[in-house]
Amino acid sequence: MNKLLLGRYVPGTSFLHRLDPRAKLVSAILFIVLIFTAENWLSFFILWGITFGVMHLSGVPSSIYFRGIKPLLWLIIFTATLQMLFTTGHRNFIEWGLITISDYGIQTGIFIFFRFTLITLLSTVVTLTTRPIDFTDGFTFLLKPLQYVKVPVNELSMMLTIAFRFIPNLLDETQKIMDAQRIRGNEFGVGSIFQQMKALVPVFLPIFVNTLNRAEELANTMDVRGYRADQKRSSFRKLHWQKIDTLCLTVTIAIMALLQLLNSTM
Amino acid sequence: MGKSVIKVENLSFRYDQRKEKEILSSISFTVNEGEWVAIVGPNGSGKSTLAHLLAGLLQPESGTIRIFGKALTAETIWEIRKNMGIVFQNPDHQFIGTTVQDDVAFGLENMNMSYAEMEKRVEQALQQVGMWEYRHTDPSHLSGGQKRRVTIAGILAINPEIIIFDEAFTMLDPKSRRELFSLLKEMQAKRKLTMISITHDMEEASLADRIIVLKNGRILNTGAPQEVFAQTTELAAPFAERLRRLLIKRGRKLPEQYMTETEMVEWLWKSNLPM
Ligand SMILES: Nc1ncnc2c1ncn2[C@@H]1O[C@H](COP(=O)(O)OP(=O)(O)O)[C@@H](O)[C@H]1O
Ligand SMILES: [Mg+2]
Repeated sequence: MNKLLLGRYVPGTSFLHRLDPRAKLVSAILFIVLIFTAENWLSFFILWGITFGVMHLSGVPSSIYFRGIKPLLWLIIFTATLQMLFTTGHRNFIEWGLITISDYGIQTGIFIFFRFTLITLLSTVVTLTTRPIDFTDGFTFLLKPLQYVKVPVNELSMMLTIAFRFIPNLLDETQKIMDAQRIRGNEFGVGSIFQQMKALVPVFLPIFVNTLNRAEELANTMDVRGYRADQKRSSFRKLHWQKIDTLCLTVTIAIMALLQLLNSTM
Repeated sequence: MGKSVIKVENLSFRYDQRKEKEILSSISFTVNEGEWVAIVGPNGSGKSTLAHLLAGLLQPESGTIRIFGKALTAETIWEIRKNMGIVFQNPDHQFIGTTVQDDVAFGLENMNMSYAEMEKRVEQALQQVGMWEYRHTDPSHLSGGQKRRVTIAGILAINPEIIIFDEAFTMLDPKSRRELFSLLKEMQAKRKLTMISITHDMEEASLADRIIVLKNGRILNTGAPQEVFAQTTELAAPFAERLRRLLIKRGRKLPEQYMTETEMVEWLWKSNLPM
């Protein structure tokens, strides 16, 4: 089981799994904007509530979420602490050389902590409930307008599709090669850093070679099956926009308006 | 016999120009419309290389390939590919789609076909190879034989006039192999499908109208199956298959069906894994 959660999909049948990827992506982007522009405790309180709400809706146990953000948590805490230590405000509690801890600094630090944690959790909700291929289709659809300024959207989409296809294969292969090396008495994760790195060489070399071979075979297959990047092609996969998608977007926009109102009155 | 659809003349090829030994040296043969030609020969005799050359993935060093009467060049290749399907030897790295049905549709998408038509063709092709129930499955989760059948469905869907199979049937269980052969025979009779099947399996070769025996990059013999079998003593079962039979004779527990070399290697190293 690999620990990296970013970009993983957990199959399910929840409300969020069934949403159109376009609705999910647009809502997520709007929420990220909201999180970045939130300036007061009440807004954050509401945003935390919504984030916990969608995490619950996804049907994925919250332990998985927290395992997912753990590697990032230290980075977030570090950034927040820096803010806390170097920001001056109305009342400075401690002044010690460059370091000042102020009421304003503490608040900014906490808000920054909130912002990054919320954004990480929210994007994890999206990737956990969206198949990579649906994500790609939604992404492609949203980028369509860029075709008019000569951005190769379809090629980008094909690249994403293939990249997403390769990742699980690559992980499986790594596992297999590590097993094969273990049988030969190669140990991983023991000894000095130098020894550990040395133990990985016989793992990465075959992966590298396999990947190149595979890429060539895949390119050959695409060629003989008539794929040409510069030709118009139809699409067999279709996105279905349903009532719940409209509903989801409406609710997102309503929340946006509400928070905007709160921000302007406070 | 009808007109020739594939005409190969004095074809020579080397992967490495610095080496003297040619992988294929001055090969000539024709395949007629509606004909089923089997190409047999030992490992390393250049069969897969020939398939890659016919697909326009490699450039001949000398000689010509004509398909549908047109010389195979950078200009004609895309027109020709619309009417030609190839199943490569390795079943693993031939999938682009994330589900079975997406993958079968890939070639159709490239033809810019309408959704309704694609839907019809994908279903038909998957029914023909008996993989319709698996349409939503991720191809990488399938067995070797199932992967093969999906790849073949992807080719059948585009309804080509020529299909080249590079050891495509060896991994299939006997039942689906028989079903596919009878389907292909039917397509051959009905709409003059032309086939080249590269194979180690003498049973498969015997179904063909004609056999070409390749050895060391040269054509050793060609003719109707019975003639060729009688004249050529070199034709033996592939290495992995002989090893499998030998191991079973020695009392090891191996799968009952044919294994490719990769599967055999996979099995061999795992057989000593402490469980
Ligand atoms: N990509 C390649 N680069 C260099 N040599 C190759 C390559 N592919 C195959 N060969 C060599 O060409 C010869 C013929 O291989 P191949 O056409 O795969 O034979 P067959 O399919 O009959 O087993 C072999 O000696 C093989 O080692
Ligand atoms: Mg071969």
